Amino acid sequence: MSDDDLHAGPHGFWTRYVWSQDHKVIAIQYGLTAIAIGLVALVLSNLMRLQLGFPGAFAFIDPASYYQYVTMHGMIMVVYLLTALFLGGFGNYLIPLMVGARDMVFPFLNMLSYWIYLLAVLVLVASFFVPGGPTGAGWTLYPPQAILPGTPGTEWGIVLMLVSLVIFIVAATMGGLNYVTTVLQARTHGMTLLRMPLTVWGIFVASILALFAFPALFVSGVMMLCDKLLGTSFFMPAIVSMGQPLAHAGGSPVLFQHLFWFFGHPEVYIVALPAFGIISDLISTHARKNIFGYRMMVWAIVAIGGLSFVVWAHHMYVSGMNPYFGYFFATTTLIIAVPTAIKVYNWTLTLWRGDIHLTVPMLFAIGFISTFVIGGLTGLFLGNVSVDIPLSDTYFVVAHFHMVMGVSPVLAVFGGLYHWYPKITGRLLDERLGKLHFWVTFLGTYAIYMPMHYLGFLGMPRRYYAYEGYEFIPASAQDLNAFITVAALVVGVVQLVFLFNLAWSLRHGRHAGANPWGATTLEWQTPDTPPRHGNWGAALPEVHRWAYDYSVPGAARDFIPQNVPQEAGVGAEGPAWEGHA
Amino acid sequence: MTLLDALTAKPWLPQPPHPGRDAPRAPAANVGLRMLLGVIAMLFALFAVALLVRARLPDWQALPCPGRRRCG
Ligand code: HEM
Ligand SMILES: [Cu+2]
Repeated sequence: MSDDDLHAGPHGFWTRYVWSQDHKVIAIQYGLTAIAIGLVALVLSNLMRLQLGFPGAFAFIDPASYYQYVTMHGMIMVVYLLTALFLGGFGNYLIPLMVGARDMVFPFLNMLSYWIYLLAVLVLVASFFVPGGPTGAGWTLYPPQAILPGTPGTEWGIVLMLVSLVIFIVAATMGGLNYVTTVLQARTHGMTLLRMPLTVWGIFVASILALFAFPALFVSGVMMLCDKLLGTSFFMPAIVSMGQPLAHAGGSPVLFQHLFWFFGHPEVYIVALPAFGIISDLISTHARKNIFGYRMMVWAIVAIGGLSFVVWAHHMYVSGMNPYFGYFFATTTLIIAVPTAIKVYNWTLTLWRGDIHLTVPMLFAIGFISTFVIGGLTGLFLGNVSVDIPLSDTYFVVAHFHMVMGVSPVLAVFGGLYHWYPKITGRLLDERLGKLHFWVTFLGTYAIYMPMHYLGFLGMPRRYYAYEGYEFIPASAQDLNAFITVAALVVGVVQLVFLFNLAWSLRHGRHAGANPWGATTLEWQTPDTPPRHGNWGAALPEVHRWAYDYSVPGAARDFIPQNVPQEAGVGAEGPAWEGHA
Repeated sequence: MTLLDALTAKPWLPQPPHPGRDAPRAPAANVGLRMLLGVIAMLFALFAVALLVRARLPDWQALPCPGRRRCG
């Protein structure tokens, strides 16, 4: 076989774009599917807001459908959008390119992972069309109510949800094995672990978390399916429902909570760590400065990943657990704040005296720091048992987790898409539309979530369909709710601008060239843009330096790509930031 | 290079122009399989923990013996 054949890849449309084993095509498939289902979740959130802002004005939103919207919105956003997009989308596209590999180490498994993910999405979507509709148990799916009559979707919806999750976990495991093994085994010559860009580090550790946290969801899902379908009582206590004693007895709902949150908390970091990595690279690239404290950043990612397995019960302070238990989990939760704060300081110190280019990706990166700090601070409040108990299950919690794991990772996704779109398509996204998208989204999310903190202090409970007749909630809260709804609708609509930009720029965007941002990492040094099958042409790149040689004193340009050999005098004077002062 | 060396490197300092050849690596399938076994071990551990917790609750019944033989 000639070299050309080796890298030309498969020829037909079907093998090239549909049953493709090329990591770049699979990444795009993952990305588009995740965005499509994410739009469903966005529409659901706007429907919820319509009911909350203008109660009763929309007859088709009855209490049952409200609960179904809450549940499907939460689950889709967390699992089917963010997890799939960060690992299956960004991970697939960037890992092989950034470590200098031709593809993932198990390309067939990679393809399988996507198709199984798609199946999981289809099963989930199917639950909208079955009798009784999707489950309304809340994204936490707590038993006993998740499978008891009275909760929407207890016949079909909950079964399809659990089956879909189990399928998703199979797909995520196949993907995760690939990402981890590729990082460990397929790095090109010279790419030591500590020369990897932080994006790869974030996705790598997040993939390990996914591999070891999803089994807890798998176990709880399978056991709940047994309770529902086979009449076991793992999680179901003895219950009298509508006057009738049920067949279940003796099970432990709290056991489910432990299993769920043993998955659920690492899940927060499965979406946060890739965001951390992406933000680090965006900030360094667009501020033309090496990342401050690179090694500390790596260790912080690893430490956060490890600690995330020992904090889960901070979600269960109100479950009636032993106070010493709460004490332990509050302590571990506050300890996790240390490496997290280090990361925030390092981002700010990277920006300090940088040559900041306010490109669209950079705007999103700075926006991320802002929303993440707000969400992180309220997390410190909620990590303390005595503060959490009165705030538990109020809108303060809704505001907190949206800032920290809703808005922030989404901003990182957007920043990443604006940054890498030119590599994926060869063209830049339109900048004016991008800025419009950024400002409306960024200010809009503050307009949505800042008032929610206040509503939480008033005691407004979450997961409620309507709030009439509560004396402690002043009537003016309704005005605030209407305001939040308007802001949410605006933010929802402006995402259409982004979708339009994605489609329009594919044909009409400015040509980007190979390396429009002047970045150092390997994906920008490919012989072709977009990279062809096999990524590197005849020879793999060889890595000679770390990923952050920006503004090196004495160098000809303000960046030195990783595959440029070390020459005397260039990049050899120690940390570049010393020379910057 | 050991893992600890790898993780305590200072990549921003000047490096020898030709870092020696990379350490030999195990085949990818080998590493992938080990990870998979780790995941499966996790799955079993969690099933076991869940079962043990449930089995400590008062109404737990052992599985009935198959056939008419007495077990244990
Ligand atoms: C414009 C964007 C968004 C809006 C307007 C929005 C709005 C809402 C609303 C109104 C609720 C239900 C509150 C309640 O009745 O308890 C909710 C719940 C939730 N949202 Fe969002 N959301 C948005 C984006 C996101 C994103 C990006 C995530 C990703 C993590 C997310 C994750 C969740 C989760 C996990 C829940 C909890 C569901 C439950 O209680 O079971 N949301 N959101
Ligand atoms: Cu948590």
